[in-house]
Amino acid sequence: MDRAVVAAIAVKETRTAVRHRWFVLYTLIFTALITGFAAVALSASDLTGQAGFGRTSAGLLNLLLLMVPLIGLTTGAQVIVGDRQDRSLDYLLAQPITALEVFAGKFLGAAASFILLLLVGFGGAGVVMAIRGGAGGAGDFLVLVLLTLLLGLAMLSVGIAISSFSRQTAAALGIALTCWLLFVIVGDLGIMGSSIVLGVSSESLLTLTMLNPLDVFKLVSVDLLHTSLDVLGPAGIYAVDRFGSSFSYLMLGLLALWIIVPLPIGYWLFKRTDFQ
Amino acid sequence: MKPVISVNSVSKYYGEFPALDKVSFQLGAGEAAALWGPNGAGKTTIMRCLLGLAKFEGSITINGFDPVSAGQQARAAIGYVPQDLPVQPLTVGEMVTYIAKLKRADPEESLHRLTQLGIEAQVNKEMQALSGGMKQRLALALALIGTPSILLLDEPTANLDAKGRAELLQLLHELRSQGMTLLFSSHRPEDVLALADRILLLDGGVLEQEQTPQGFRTSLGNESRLVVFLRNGHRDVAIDTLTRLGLQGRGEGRVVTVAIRLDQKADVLSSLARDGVDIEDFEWERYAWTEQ
Repeated sequence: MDRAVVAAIAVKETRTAVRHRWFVLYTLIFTALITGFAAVALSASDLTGQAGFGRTSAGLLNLLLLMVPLIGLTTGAQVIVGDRQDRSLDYLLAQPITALEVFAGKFLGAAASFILLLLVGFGGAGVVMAIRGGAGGAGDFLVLVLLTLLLGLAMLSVGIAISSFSRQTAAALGIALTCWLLFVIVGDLGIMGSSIVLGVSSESLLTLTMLNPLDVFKLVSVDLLHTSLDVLGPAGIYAVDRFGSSFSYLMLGLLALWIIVPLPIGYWLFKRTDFQ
Repeated sequence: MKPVISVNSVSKYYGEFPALDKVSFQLGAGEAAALWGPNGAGKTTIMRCLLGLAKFEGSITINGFDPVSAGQQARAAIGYVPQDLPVQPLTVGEMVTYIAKLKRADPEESLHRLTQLGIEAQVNKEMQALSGGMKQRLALALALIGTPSILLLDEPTANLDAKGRAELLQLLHELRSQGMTLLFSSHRPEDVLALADRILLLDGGVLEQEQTPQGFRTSLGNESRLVVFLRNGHRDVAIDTLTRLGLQGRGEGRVVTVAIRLDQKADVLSSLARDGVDIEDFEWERYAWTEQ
């Protein structure tokens, strides 16, 4: 694999992405929501006398759990299929380069623009929190930013894998939104709800939870933001008993797997897809 | 002469649909061949197979390289001009630099291709702001980066007006005289006769026959098609005029199409003008052999 070729494709993809209306729209919405939430959370904290980065960071968690997977999945889902539809993918692959260089370049370009989007949003929230809440708990905020980047990249990888085999952008977006619903509703509320009804053991519940990247993100965020995992119920309590201090590393490893595993699957689908 | 392009019994199916059926041909260095046939004949599919963009049965070699298993080496010998160059949100200069990097060519040197194609003044222009003719010249400039020995052109003149077409054909003629191997698809007999040494006649994915330009000219027959572009409001008048001349015109929007004999062109146009039809432009094409 020629790194110069991959870099050229990645740079071009990043430039193209940041000029795209979806990028602008997502950046505006994400920044507005996260900054607005931070401002409101800090105002509420002022009333209770508990202002600062730490509590606001924890409060941002639920917003991030909804927004970041949605943006990551739908952004990733458009990366390849859009080029396939307008024939620019054929033109790119007609050059003396390999499919792996194209795939790698497209992923890196999409990842760079997506990280930029998230950092712009967090930058806005960080400024509000710094002005209103002082510097206390800034470390927690940075941890949350890094964890969010990992979650975002995981969702982007899944989105790109979806894009790899899709014929139409609308179809890819439909699959991406279905995945988002599965992760958010079935994976979270569904598991929790059915575990109560079916009386699933704590061990099984934790295993099921760890299969969902959103729950993995939630568990590791709560753990690293110095909040007790007890708040997550029986699965959280069991996780502390079972894994102790290595729990965070395990969860970080799982998030990394969610970034890495969809990529070879996506590449395999990308190579075998042969649409006219 | 050792072939630079060798296509041996290549078949390609999309589901049950045979896009190509056991197509074989060879092309030597410096030859110019045209792929001729109606829509769906398999012209574009052959190009996709040559570029390694589509999987197929049979075998293809480009300068001895298999475009599937050694695609990078095979494509290094090919400059590809698509029918419609995908527009990127880049300037002309940025696009040239980008493609040069992909082809591992010197970006600065590659920019000279714009001069060669007469579009150096467009270097800072956004791609989407280019006219059809300029875009096609850019596509050719991009294809020539890295000095390939083979040019693959998919309907290169399809989106050009008469002037743009003539200019592009002249450029291709020059490249051909410099020893470049050309394989192009077209539905315009004039283009084929202007450039090709050999004409590969495709229909329904089958290579029906191969012709010389002389044989091709003879096979075109005596029929042609006149396409008249009208200013608004004159379509019905035009259809009436054609009916009076004993011709069956078809109207759609501002365009009227009519099948005529080769010697009827001037009569039809002057009759339309006499009846007050405001003609904005017209195109005239001889029928493809497969349409007779």
